[in-house]
Amino acid sequence: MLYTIDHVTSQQLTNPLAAAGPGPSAAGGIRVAGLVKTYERTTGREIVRTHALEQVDLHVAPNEFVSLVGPSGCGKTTVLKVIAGLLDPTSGTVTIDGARVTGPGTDRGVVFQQPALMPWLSVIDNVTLALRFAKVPKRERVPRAERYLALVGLADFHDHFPGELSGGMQQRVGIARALALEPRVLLMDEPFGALDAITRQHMQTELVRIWEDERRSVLFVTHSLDEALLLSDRIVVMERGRVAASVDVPIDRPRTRLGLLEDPAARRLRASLEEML
Amino acid sequence: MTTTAADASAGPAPVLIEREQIPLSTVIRRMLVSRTRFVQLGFLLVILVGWEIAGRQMGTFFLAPPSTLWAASGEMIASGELVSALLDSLSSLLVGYSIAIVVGVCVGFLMGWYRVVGKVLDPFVSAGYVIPTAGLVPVFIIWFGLGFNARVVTVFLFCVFEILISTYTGVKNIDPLLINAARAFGANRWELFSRVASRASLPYIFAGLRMGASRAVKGMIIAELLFAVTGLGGLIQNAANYYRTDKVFVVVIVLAVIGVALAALIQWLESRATPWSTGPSH
Ligand SMILES: Nc1ncnc2c1ncn2[C@@H]1O[C@H](COP(=O)(O)OP(=O)(O)OP(=O)(O)O)[C@@H](O)[C@H]1O
Ligand SMILES: [Mg+2]
Repeated sequence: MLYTIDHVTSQQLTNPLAAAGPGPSAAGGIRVAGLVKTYERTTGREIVRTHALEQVDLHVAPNEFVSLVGPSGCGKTTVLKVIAGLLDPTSGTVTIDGARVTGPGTDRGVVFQQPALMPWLSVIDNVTLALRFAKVPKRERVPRAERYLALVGLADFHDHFPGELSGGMQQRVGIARALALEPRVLLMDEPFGALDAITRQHMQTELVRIWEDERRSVLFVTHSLDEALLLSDRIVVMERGRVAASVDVPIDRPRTRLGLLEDPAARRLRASLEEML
Repeated sequence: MTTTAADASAGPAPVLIEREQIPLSTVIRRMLVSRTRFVQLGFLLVILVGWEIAGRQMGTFFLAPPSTLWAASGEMIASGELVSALLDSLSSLLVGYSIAIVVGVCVGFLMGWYRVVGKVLDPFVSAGYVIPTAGLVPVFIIWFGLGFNARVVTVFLFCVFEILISTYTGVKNIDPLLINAARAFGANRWELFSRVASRASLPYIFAGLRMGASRAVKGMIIAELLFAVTGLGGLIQNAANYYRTDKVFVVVIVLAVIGVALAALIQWLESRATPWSTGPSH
């Protein structure tokens, strides 16, 4: 089948609701409907309103890997926080596998844009604390934490404090912490942003492997189109608090960086996405 | 074992980590013998020599030189007055300071944790902080008499606001990212308090304890001078009445030692409780 990106984007652009994927009957996965978020601040006689999300409809099917891209400040983190239950929307709803989100829950593992580690806890204690919060039985916590720390390449650093790690290492602890929860939904906010190219590639491979092993829905914010193309089933483009387009990535897996460079369909897809941003 | 796990998935660690056990004797020696200690001893020596020279020139009546303090302290210990005054002072100091820690930390935490409580109490705390405690002494005498209670209350009021305001500031300044992270992983309100907030605010709380400790010692002396002539403050006053500057200085040195010991104790507790902020930097 020949993939025509022009057709897809123009259709999605004129009808953003279609970006929400299958109809409302498909209750599984993450479903975001009519999300509006306005930040408000009063200073003296002035009220400042920031319309972070004007209207966002989004659907991540069960086991689907969706990347969220868009210019800085367009509302990606805000969407993620609302889905995580950390931020109340001004209006609109979020459901996960049909259940309405009203607050944070351990069905969702969150990797924050900043590492957000407890500075007074060692690396392993940071992970086991999250597992304790998530009510994972005590016996399982340490082995599980060790397993995921090894996965992100930090086994040797388990007794170090976050202040003793590099930025990328801290970020990897945050990734291990979210993965160790083994949640149905992974929400990742530029998790590989602070990593060097080699470590980043390694982490991308591991993430895909984990996602293929134990299927889960992933919503992945990134600034890198290459990363989005490498990892995702679908790429959602945001712009000024709205979903501007939702583009399928019909490229066979396993994907490689080189394969993507050589695949004409992938290159066309990349070019048209680049134009949008 | 852990090393192989890391190797298998991520190649060798990017840096070499070495672990070495330090014998206990080395730990103790480092604590006692260090460059800082030598400089401190040298500094102390300079002070003592300067004091000795000045004291000999002015005479014991004006400024008792350190060499006369041995005899004076021997006399005060033999008569038992120093020990009983010390115990007397320490008891009011520790009781007042402990109550201030409990009240200051609890109220400070409530104010920082519950925004409404903080907003409501803020002006009252500011007011209490600026009221000169020493000026209230006549009222204290009416309320609490001249005994132990009055001294405890003075010590308490002298240091409680430092501890309270510092705790309040610490709780208000907890990184919201950490609270959000804990919430995202399912922490309930109690866990947010016990596992995150109470730890995150510790550096500020200890700063308050340190400032509060020196204020507490001052409050103790003032109470002893103004209420009943008792304790170490009373000892100073009595010695001064008899023009015994040597005895005055013995008490002053005891007070300085109390201050240093209290600060060292708090610092030690702090380094145990917050290893991440005073961690090894070499
Ligand atoms: N706490 C806040 N208070 C007020 N406005 C906010 C707040 N957080 C975000 N905003 C506004 O909302 C908009 C969207 O922010 P958001 O963090 O979601 O952007 P983003 O797409 O994640 O950007 P980036 O790629 O730089 O991380 C921003 O333009 C910002 O001005
Ligand atoms: Mg962001």
